[in-house]
Amino acid sequence: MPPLSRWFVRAGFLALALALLIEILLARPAGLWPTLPDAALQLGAIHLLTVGWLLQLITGVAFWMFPRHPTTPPRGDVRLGWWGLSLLNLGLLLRLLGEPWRVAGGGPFWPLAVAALLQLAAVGCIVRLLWPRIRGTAS
Amino acid sequence: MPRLSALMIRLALVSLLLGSTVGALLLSQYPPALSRLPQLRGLHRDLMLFGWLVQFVLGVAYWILPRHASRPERGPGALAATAVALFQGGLVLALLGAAAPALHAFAPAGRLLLAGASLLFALLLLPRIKPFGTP
Repeated sequence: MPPLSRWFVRAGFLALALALLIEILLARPAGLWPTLPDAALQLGAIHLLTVGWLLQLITGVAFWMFPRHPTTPPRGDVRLGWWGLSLLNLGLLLRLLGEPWRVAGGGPFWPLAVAALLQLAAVGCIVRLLWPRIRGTAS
Repeated sequence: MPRLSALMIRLALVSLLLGSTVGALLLSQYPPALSRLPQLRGLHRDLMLFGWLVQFVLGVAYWILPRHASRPERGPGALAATAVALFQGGLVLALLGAAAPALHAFAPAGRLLLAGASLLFALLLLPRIKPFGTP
């Protein structure tokens, strides 16, 4: 398994663990910490599961397993993958902090706008990385 | 990778890109007139759930699950092509139903086609869930 795949899978498991911790927090007894912004935390947990966990696990395994190029580099331009990994996790982290801050404490809006841009750019990198390796054969 | 898998995986990546763009509009709330349309949430959900995730998983499963010892190795090709066509039709109808309030009636029809496609995929893939090397 190439290093980029390992890091995508590791980051995916970290996101899964974080999502489950937030879910535990959301399932706390009624009345405990009533000022927590539950709606924002719930959205954060859903995106940790779908983007942080599933998308990163899928990307890591696809980068490893998809048909390789006959030429070098066999898995394509790995720099795109590192950019995708970094931007995606930065964007997720920014969203995770920015959304509850904005809902609970009237925080600024810019972290969410930047998080949106970072995650969209990361998806662009991931699609660009994997696309050339999708090659259909007659069988 | 069979051509049908390649098609589904490419369409899944297109859905991922489109769904992420809609998600970015929702999160950034920019531009205000577009990003606050109530139908964007349904569009985001359908693109990411059915267009991206389900389609990618089915496309990879059709490619990578153990093949039959005899031809056709991945099951009847016509059945697979029908399943893919039904899936795309269902996805388009579901997206139209989510995107335009006037086309809301398309949403259940889209779900029905997606369910039919899933049933055909189950017929194709269930016999291939077996240890590698068995006929």
